[in-house]
Amino acid sequence: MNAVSWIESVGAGALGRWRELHQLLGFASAVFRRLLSPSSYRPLTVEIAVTQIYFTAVQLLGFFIVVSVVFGSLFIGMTLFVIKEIGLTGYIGDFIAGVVVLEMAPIMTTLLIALRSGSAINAEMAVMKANRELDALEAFGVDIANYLFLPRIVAVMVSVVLLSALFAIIVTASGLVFSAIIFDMSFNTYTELIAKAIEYRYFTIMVVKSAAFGFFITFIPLYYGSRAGYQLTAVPVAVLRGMVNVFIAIIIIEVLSLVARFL
Amino acid sequence: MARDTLQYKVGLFIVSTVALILATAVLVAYKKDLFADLATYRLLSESGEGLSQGMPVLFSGFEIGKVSALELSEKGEVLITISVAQKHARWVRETSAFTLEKPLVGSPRIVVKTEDTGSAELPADKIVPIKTIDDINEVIKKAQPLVERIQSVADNVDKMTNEGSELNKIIADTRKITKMLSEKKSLLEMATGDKKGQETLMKTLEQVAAITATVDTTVKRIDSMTAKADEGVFGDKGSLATVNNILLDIEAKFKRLDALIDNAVTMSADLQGTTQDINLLRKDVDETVSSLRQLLQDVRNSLPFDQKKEIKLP
Repeated sequence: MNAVSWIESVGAGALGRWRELHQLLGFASAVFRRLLSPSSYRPLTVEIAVTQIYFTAVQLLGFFIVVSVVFGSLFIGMTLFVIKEIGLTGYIGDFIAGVVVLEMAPIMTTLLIALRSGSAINAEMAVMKANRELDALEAFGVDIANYLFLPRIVAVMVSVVLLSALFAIIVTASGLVFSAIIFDMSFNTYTELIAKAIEYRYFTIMVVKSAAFGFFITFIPLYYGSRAGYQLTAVPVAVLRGMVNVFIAIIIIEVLSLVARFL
Repeated sequence: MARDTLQYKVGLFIVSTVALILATAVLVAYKKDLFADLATYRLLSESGEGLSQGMPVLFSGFEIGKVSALELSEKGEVLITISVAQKHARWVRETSAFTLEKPLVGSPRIVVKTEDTGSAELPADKIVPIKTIDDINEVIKKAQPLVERIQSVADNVDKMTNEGSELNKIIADTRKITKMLSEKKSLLEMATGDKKGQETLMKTLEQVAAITATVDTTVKRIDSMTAKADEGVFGDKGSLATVNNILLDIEAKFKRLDALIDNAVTMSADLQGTTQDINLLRKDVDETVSSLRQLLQDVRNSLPFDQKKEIKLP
């Protein structure tokens, strides 16, 4: 391969990725507009969304609470111990509000749901494509975006927002236990510190960030699943591509949220 | 209605989670004094540097309020309005001092200090000047003398290393000495500048060395003699041991002599008693002889025997 053809292959690869990204974002934009339109929500859409919430959040709830308590307690315990060692006890509230509520809760919830539900949705779509179910639905004039995409996206968005809030509350509550043990701090003092550190915009940031995570960890698997080939061997490839892109999307959203928070 | 349906479970999850979130939000709002009545006070600062809306107002390390507004006065000074929850208003009195603290670590805050909490409440329309404590500037102020000293040290080092400085002269002299040493000249020659004097000194030193060797040999001999004398006196067969044995023997003999003397004393005492008896016996004999003489005299006197008084010559 000579230098010119190598440069051509690099250019072709870059153009291909750009077209793919453009197509993905264009489709995401169309689905997001549909999401905001009340006419998109028909009884069947709501029913599918409720079912998806059940699979995504309610079935996961027990495991999720255990993970929140164990991981949150360990994290809070170690961090409060370090805070005590370096003499920054007055900043407990800022740490819990800034790190746990705004950063750790959404990302932990997103990772759990992406691993469990995102991969399942990706595989489901890829199998439907391989079985030509999507073609059949289109042939019957069923709006795939409304019937398949919208309810799942809404359900996962709602689940991520609610579970992130739950995670933050559980970890903050475990912080109360550890602050009582490590600092001999009363409930009143602890809640005062947390409340003073939490700003009202944190609620908005957390909801928007969790919703954005929820949107992309569902939309990307749906997108790559629906674009899979007609062979069954295309299913794992579609899941792999979808999950890798979900991971990239999580990182991009996290970085953007940090930029938005500190600018 | 069945309670185990999918819709019921999802609805319960959403309702309970939303209720929990709302309860947390209400608790946070309550703790942030969102529902509390607020008292406002006005402060005055020459500069707005470090001041911001929402900045905390602390009393004894606890946040009791916030800066709710900042505005410029007609004189170009900064008017600060602080809002304090009514329950904390008792800490803000007429005697309170307000300080804007800019710590090295953490965000700036307004600190309230009240010496006399029994004084009258600070009127809402009274404008109180605020002091500023800037930790960074304080550190710079404290570091200034140190920086000046460092500068002085640097100047001195600069002077020392200048061309023609004492240090450079010393280095030049050292170079000269090193050069002379490399030419194998002795230090003495370098000091006196006289080669003969050096030779004389060398001879003297050689003589001193010879004397020292002789003294050393003599001392060794004395050491040897002393060692022998030590052996003769203090050795196992030395004089001291012999004297010790003799003394021990004499001591033993003295002990035996003591016993003999004790016996002699006893015998002497016995002899003394015997002598007394002899004296008595003699006395008795004397008395008896005297009595016999008296008796003989009496007999002579009684008997008619003439006694010739002349002594006839043969």
